[in-house]
Amino acid sequence: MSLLAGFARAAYYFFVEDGSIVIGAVMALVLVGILAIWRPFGTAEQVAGPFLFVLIAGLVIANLLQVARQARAGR
Amino acid sequence: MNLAVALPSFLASSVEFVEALTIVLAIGVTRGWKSAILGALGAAALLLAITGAFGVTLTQLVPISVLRIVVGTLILLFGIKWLRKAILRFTGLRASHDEEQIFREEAELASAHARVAAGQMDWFGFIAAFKAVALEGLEVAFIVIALGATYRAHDVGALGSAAAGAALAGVIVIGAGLVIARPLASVPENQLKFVVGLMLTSFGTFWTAEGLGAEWWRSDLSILWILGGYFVISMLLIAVLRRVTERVALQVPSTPSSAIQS
Repeated sequence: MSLLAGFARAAYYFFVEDGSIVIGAVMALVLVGILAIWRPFGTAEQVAGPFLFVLIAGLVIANLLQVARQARAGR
Repeated sequence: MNLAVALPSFLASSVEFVEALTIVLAIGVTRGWKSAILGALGAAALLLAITGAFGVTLTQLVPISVLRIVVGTLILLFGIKWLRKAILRFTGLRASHDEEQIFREEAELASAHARVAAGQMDWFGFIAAFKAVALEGLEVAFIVIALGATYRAHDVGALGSAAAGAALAGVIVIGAGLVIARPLASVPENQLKFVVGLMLTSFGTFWTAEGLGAEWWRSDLSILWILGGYFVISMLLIAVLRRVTERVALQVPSTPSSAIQS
């Protein structure tokens, strides 16, 4: 039971507690996946990688600035 | 030996081994060493079996593009969470990991449970040590398999390099723990987590995009500019968030670092 509770806690922590950044990253990957499959531009292969980097970097920046905003608001 | 695989594996494993060792030491001191050591060894055997079975299966049966997408995604998610957590700890927006405090809390918890007669197996101690090593070790096993599997196109011995990096971390951390017989409070855990977070986020970005069909300029060398880019962004974020923490500290002098615990 203790082991199961530990696994459940780890799963909760991974998917829910810090969930926003995980969900954001998964959405970024889905977006890049669609771009790679759909290939709206002739140069999708060269664009997809840097595009994913920009999305992930933007996600980290947005997430941490949101935390800072909450801290400043005293929440 | 593939250093690009062994180094992140070594650093990530060091962090996890320190966390597992802290709990095993607390169990050993309060409940007895027999149950703590047997629990830790049982979990280590389970993890070795998982790593062997999944590692070999993944590297031999799954197509490399599928592997890159799945493993790259998981590594990216791991990395981004570690990076976020490390940045928040650097800036004081999240409390630092305190091994001494965790040791005290685990020891108090273990002491609160009824003791067994001398010579009998202490199942509470066994399960607690097993759980700690299994949970922390699963992360090590995952990183070893992921790094080894995704590099197999370039280096068939990559899984061995990743396993060697993790094993070396285990020997150093456990050896140090046995020598001083108390938590390794002086290990710069947050710095390690920051570096590993950067590495995993960079590798994850590279592999996932490559698995999806992206062609990186200069191929594998792109990892360097991705790593550099994430590093610069992280340092800028640390500078900005530190200023926020200082302002919060000026407003609420008594609890500057506990402003948020996300």
